[in-house]
Amino acid sequence: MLRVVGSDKVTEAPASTQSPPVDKAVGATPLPGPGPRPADASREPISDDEFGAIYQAQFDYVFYSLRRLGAHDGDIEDLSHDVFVALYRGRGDYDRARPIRPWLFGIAFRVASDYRRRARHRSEVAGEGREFADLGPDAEGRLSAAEDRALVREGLLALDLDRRAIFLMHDIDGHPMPEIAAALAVPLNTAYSRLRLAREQFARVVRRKRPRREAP
Amino acid sequence: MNELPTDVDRLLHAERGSVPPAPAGARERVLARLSSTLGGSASLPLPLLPAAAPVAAAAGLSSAAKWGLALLLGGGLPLVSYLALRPAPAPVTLAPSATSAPAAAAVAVRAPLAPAPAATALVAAPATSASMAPPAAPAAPVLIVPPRDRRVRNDGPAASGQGDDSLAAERGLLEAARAALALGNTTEALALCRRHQHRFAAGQLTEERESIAVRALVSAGQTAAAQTRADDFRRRFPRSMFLPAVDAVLQ
Repeated sequence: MLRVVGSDKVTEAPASTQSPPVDKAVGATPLPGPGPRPADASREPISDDEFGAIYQAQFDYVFYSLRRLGAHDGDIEDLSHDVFVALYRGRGDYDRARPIRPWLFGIAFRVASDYRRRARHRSEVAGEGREFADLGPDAEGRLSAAEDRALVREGLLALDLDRRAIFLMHDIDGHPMPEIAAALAVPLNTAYSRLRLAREQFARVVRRKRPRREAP
Repeated sequence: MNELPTDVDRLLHAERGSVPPAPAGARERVLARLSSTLGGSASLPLPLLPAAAPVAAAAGLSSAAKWGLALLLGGGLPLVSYLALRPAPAPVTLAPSATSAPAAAAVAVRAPLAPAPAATALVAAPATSASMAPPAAPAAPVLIVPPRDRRVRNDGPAASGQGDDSLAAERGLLEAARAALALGNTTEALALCRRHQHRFAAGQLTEERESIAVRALVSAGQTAAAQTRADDFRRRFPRSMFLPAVDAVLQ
């Protein structure tokens, strides 16, 4: 029996004006083992209890990651289901020495890639659906935050999925590059190259669109 | 490595702050579907949805009724599929479904290829860390899954020669069958299983179909037929993740 005992609480990312520090990533905490274990137990499969805890604690993260990866709002529940099925079926592959979120994101990325390969899903819609976030206390702040989020979303959607995934994982989620490369199964240098290109493209797109938004 | 310009980086602050909660009910709906995909025990849905459990238990409902109540309270997609499909005598029209469980299974959870030189910096959390074992929520949902077998299926679309649309249709049929079973309509569940078998003789969800059929037969009191079908299931899919559920329902 699997008891879901997780919490919705999400650790806040470190405040920073630049890219988050790589060693203080959100969700960077590795999955603790069931207790004292030998050094080679890092590959011990995730237990049912742990799977339930992961589901409970990381559902929102998976859901939102899929959205940021470009899934249509109406499809995200299907895709979230698929992510957790893949997680369960691959639970023996998880390395406990690694944080859980990059691994989950890697699964979400592959599910989203598979989803995008279907022709009918290739057209992405910026700003589709509602925003799930609490945008702030005052109306002006909410509007500004909503505009920023929409702009970010447009910038993200302009990136191809490979670059977008690395950009999300590093510059937003704050995961360290070695973890990202491992989770996405790409060489580290390739990951850095994609991040560089993603940053350039993202900056170009948001700067191009921002003046248009700010015009009366 | 180039950094993001400050003005662009500032835009990302809100995104970094927190993960917005998923829409209300999404967690429960996905959990219900996960239970169906990964589990299969007849008693599974009772504790699945916290709101359903006490109500169903207090009412002394049958297992099938509990299934139905749990699904109703969870707004389960299978129920919607079932209700949509129920009157349809001919080819089934399904709500478009983006993905399927087997499709997800085909997405390999690959072992990391790259070395992790910096991983040691992240391993500081003690085994007693509460990050994955936070205080138990008072009404935590419970999900029952088979205790073993993480076999990666390789019977994807390429193997079956069927495309995504077929897969979605397969899944829709079986979700409807599950919903019918949950509502105690074993005749309808078995009919939908037969329809699946007819339309998708070499389908990708054969294991799922057979596990549903066994449960439906047991619920219908056709124990001998259920046993025969379960034996066949065991022979064909000795490592199936559905096998524990099939075994359990016959015990």
